[in-house]
Order: sequence, then structure tokens, then C-alpha cells
Amino acid sequence: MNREKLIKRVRHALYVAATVVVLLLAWQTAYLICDNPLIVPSVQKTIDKTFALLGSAAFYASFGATLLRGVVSFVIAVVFAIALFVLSKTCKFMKVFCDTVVKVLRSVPTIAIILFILILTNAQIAPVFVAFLVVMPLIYAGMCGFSVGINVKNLCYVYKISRRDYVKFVYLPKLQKDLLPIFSSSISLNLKIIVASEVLANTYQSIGGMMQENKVYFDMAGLIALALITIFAAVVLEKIVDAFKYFKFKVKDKEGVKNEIN
Amino acid sequence: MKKIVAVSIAIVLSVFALVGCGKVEKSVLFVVPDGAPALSVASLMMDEYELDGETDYKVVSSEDIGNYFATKRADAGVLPLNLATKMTDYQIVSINTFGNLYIVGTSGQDITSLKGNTLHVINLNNVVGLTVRLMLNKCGIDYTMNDLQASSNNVVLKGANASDLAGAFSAGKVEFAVVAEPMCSKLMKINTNLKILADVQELYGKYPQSAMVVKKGRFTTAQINGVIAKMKQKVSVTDTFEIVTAHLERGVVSAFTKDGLTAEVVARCNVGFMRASENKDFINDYIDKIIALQENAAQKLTDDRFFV
Repeated sequence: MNREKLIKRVRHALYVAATVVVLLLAWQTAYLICDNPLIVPSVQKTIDKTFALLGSAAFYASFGATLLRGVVSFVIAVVFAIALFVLSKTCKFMKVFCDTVVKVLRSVPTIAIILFILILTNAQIAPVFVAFLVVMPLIYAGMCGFSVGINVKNLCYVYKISRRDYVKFVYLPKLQKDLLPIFSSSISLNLKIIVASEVLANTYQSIGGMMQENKVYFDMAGLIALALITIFAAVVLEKIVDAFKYFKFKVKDKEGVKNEIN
Repeated sequence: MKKIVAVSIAIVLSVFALVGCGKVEKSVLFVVPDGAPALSVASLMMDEYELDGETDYKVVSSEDIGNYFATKRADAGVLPLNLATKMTDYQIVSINTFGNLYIVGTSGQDITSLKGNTLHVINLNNVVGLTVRLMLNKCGIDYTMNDLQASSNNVVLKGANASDLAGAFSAGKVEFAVVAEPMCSKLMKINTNLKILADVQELYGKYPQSAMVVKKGRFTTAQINGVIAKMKQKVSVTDTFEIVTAHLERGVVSAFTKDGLTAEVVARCNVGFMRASENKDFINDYIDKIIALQENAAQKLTDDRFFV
């Protein structure tokens, strides 16, 4: 790694650390001013509670269940979004049909969806459906906004690039570059929706269920500790999705050597 | 033109401010959740008993009661014991109710009928749910809160809203539930095929359910002794309904109905009085059991948490 890049990374890390310190100081100041640990717990108590949670087997069971629901609903949302997108390309009517369905899903209030689906299913499954119904329209809308560009299309037509090569070496790499940021932000939103639905559904063995319990018992330190862990999990999921950008499509040249497509 | 608009807005805002300022706050706020705890302080509310100057008595929803104490808005009041242990700025004066939970069902004979079925519990995460779990443990009946672990040998516990149970029983969505009096009698009047299968208090034993608390250093011993003496006064059943209804917070639907509040119902509410400082072992023993079940549900009480 060259010197300039290293300096940039170190500076970025320092800025992040400084931001965290400022936020922690603001929190501790709020705790001292409020003088009510039932409303604003101290930073120390919250950190202790976080470590206590991380040392508890029951927490990992709940965390694992929530994460599983998050991943499952996200994968289903991506598959459905792709399927709807492909369907919308078949003819004009399907385009209008798919766009209308997605617009309706985007407009329905999330809370109405949660309450409705709770009646139809149970507290374990409802959060998966709710997150799917919220995130899938976002991914679909992102895909609809994607375009290779008319100049590139014309170039491929002029040079008589086959449909197969066009999809493999032009379409997919561009799709990867444009859609990964949408997937990355959608997966963290997906996790937040899952946790919110679990709180409302009071799902057994879930982060949302634990948050609801902490709220009922006025354990604010526990509630904030769970929120911090959820934020960390969302960031990790975003980074995992972002890591797919390092996967490069490759094409063999005349000498049979594989070269990356940028 | 701009000046005219600005002055008009200022006048309108001032009027709102004056109207807001016109409301005089009473010096003491006493809050109690609707239901059996409200019955325990009916004699105080009847004469608008002054704890320390003019006192505002409010009967609020059981979901909101904790907020009044967590934010220190209330000077005194009654709340579930496990929450009372967490309000460290308050001291416990007395235990006001000793259990009013009943298992009702559309079928079955007794508590063993619950095996292989779902038991809907109001306030599953609070004293009600915790006591039901203690009771089931004592009776040797396995339970789970996970639908997927249901079997013919255990009971699935599910949270329920008291307000939804009447409709849920009528629609056949709920077969068994744990409800508190007077809601229990109300439900049995609406759903005539409902019957009481078991008395939780009989199966588990007497337990401290709700506690009266006061803000630390707010009241003198003489003032609290006056409150206790007043609380012990009997109030007629007819008067009780009027008194509690008159002090309901706006938007709160009363747990009582005029016809529904009878002497039998009041007896089943198990309202009483026990001075907390003279019965520390009884209270701490129950709290220890709750903490063993759910660590963050309550907090151990030190001597300074009891009003002497």
C-alpha cells in the first residue's frame, strides 16, 4: 500500500474515533444533566450491560434467530425483485403491472403491514414477511433505474457483440457496480425492519422481543446495549455486501490470458 | 402589511401561552393503574384526601403507569411491585393487592386441562406473567413461550391484551387465558361459556402484587400515617365505581362496569393492606423468586427503599 493511501486511512480512522468520543461525551453529559438512569443510563452501565449480553447464551440464540430472519427475508426480497424486474422487461403491460404493484407496496404504512400479517401468520414469521414487503420495492426501484447507457449499447450493436457476451461482459459488470450500493443499504434497512416487527409482534427469542422486555422492565441500559449491537450487526452486513465489489468479471484475450473488466 | 401579520401571530401565540399558563398544577400527583389497585385507594379519592396540599388523583392505563414514576412526575401512587423495586427515587409504603389472577377457559375442568394448549396471559412480561410462571413451576407443569416447542405435555404461554380478549374468546381464537379481576368477571359476562378453571392465588399462594410508593423525602411519617389510616376506610361498592370512573385519565377505558362491580368481584380482587417495612421478608422472598426467573424484571430492595 503506498504512503498516501496509508495516511488517508489512518486519518479516516482517527476522524471516526474522534466522532465516537464526542458522541460518548455528549451521552455522558446527557446522563449527568438528566440524573435519571431509568431514562438515560450512564455510558459505563451500558457498556457493562453490552458485555453481559455478549457473554450470555440466551442472547446469541435470539441474535442468531433475528439475523437468520434478516438474511432470509433479504435473499427472498432480492430474488423477487430480480424476477419482477425481468418480468417487467417482457412487455409494456408487465412493466406497468409490476410498477403499480411495487408502488402500492411502497405506499402502504409499515405498521399496517405488520398488524395485518400478524393476524395471518405468527410472531416468528411475520417479521420476515414485513421486511420483505418493505425492502423488495426498494431493490426493484433501484434495478429499474439501472441503465448500461445508449452509447455502449450502440457500440455493441456496431461491433456485433453477441447477446451472451453483452450480458456477461457489459451488462453484469455494470449491474454489479450500480446495484451493490443499493443492496448494501437495503440489507441494513432490512435488519432494522425485522427488529421493529419483532418488537411489535413480541417475537419469542429475538432481538426485538428482548428490546420489548427491556422496555417493560425499564432496563434502558439493556435496551441501548441491544440497539448498539444491532447497529454493529447492520454495519457488518453492509460491509459483507460491499465486499462483493472486489469480485471482478474476467475475459480471456487472444493469448488465452484472463483480464479483469473494469 | 408584514408588521400587521407579525403582530397578529404574536397575539395568537400569546393567547395560547396564557391559556396554557392558566392551568394551575396541584401540589401532589397520585397515580394508580386501573383495576384492583384503584379499588385499594378508593377511600383516598372519595374525599380527594390531601397528602400534602391539593392532591391530583389519576387512574391511568396499566401500560402507562411505569412512565409516571420513571420520569418522576408522580409524587406517590400504586404500581406493580416489580416496577416499584426499580424506581429507586421512591420508597415502598405498603402492599395494596395480593393477587387477583384467574385462569378462565371455554373448556376444561382445572389447571391440568392446560397441557397441550395455549394459555394467553395479560401483561406476560410483568407481575402477572411472572407469577403465572412461578405458579406453573410450583404445580409441576412445563411451559414454553415458543410456539415451535409446543407439545402435549406443556403449556404455550402467549401475551395478550386485556381489551382484545373478549372478541378473541367470542371468535374462538382463544381457549384459555389468565386475566385479572375485575376484567375476569367482565369477560365472563360477555362470553357466557367462559368459566374459572383455577385461582392462581390458591395454587401459588398469597403474593405481593402491587405496592404503594412515595417519593423519597417528599412526605413526613405523620402524613403517610394519615394516608394509611384513610386507605383502611371502607367504601361501598356503588360509591367505588363512581369514584374510580370520576378519576379516570382521558382515553382510559375503565376495567369496571356499574353492574359488573359487585361485592363478590371486589372480594376476588384481593385488595388489602400490609405495611411494607413490617413485612420485608415476605416482599423480598417474592422478589428473589422473580429475579431468579427473569433477572432484569426486578431489583433487590435494601432497607432504605422501605418507608418507615
